[in-house]
Amino acid sequence: MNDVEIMNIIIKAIKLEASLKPNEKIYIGQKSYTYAEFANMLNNHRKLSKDSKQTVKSFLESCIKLFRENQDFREKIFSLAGEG
Amino acid sequence: MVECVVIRPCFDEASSISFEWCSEVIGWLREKNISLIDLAKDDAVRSKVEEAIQRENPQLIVFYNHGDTQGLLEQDGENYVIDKKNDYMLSGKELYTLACLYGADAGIDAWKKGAIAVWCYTKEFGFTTEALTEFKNFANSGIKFKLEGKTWEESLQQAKNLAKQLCQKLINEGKYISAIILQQDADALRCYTQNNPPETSTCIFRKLLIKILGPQKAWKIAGRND
Repeated sequence: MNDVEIMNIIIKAIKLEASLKPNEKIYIGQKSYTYAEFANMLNNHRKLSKDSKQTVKSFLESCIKLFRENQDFREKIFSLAGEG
Repeated sequence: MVECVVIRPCFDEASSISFEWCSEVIGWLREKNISLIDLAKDDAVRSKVEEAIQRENPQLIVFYNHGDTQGLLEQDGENYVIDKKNDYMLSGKELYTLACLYGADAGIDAWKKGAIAVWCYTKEFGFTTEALTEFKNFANSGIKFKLEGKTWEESLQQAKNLAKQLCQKLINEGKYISAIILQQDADALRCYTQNNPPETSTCIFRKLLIKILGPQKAWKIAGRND
């Protein structure tokens, strides 16, 4: 499975998690986002500022690392995304 | 003379949370009878920080708030309490900071100018509202381990181990976004010391040496100053 395929599955799962938690927020640096706002940023790269692009890039790199290294995370993300 | 200067601005939602996290650290310092000055909110400004460091010559400086590659931000976020112009004041001292991105550039500069330890993050520090306790535990863990008597290098390793455990806990609880953010924080965490030098440099020659020889040997050649 390549990085793009992994990212697509993770984004699908994260969007679902975000929809289940409308009141939760993420703070990154001086910015804050609802889970839904953040999830929408993940596949809307072109509309983002340079800083937000970097935030998303770092987040997705950590996603992929966790997906490759942690079997529980991988299985639960697959399950949440309705894959496998 | 005090042993520690704590700096904790508070001017937005994120800094109001980290301000509270820092209260726990202050409690631990007091339990260990470490004398301290708490430069909070309107006292967390450059002039007062410089004055406190010059007058008290503390061994440890704790900073909880925002930062960037150029420095640590003061109350209201307009200017820096510590940046490359005054970080010579950290020579011979230990700095523990939660600030975003400081470790990517200015933290390296502080280390090059003689700071004994620089606890810092090379990327943005993030946290979520659904896992505030876990993020606080991680953010405060380094100073906790240090106060328990571990070296900075051991504290760094223990903090990274703790992050793995917390990450697993969050995964088990179905908090995947939080787990990813915590993983990102752990990956960005550094502690620059004599034995644990930065893995990068603004100097092209040094960068090349690090690539060829590794950070330990590369920083020994011609010292830290370039």
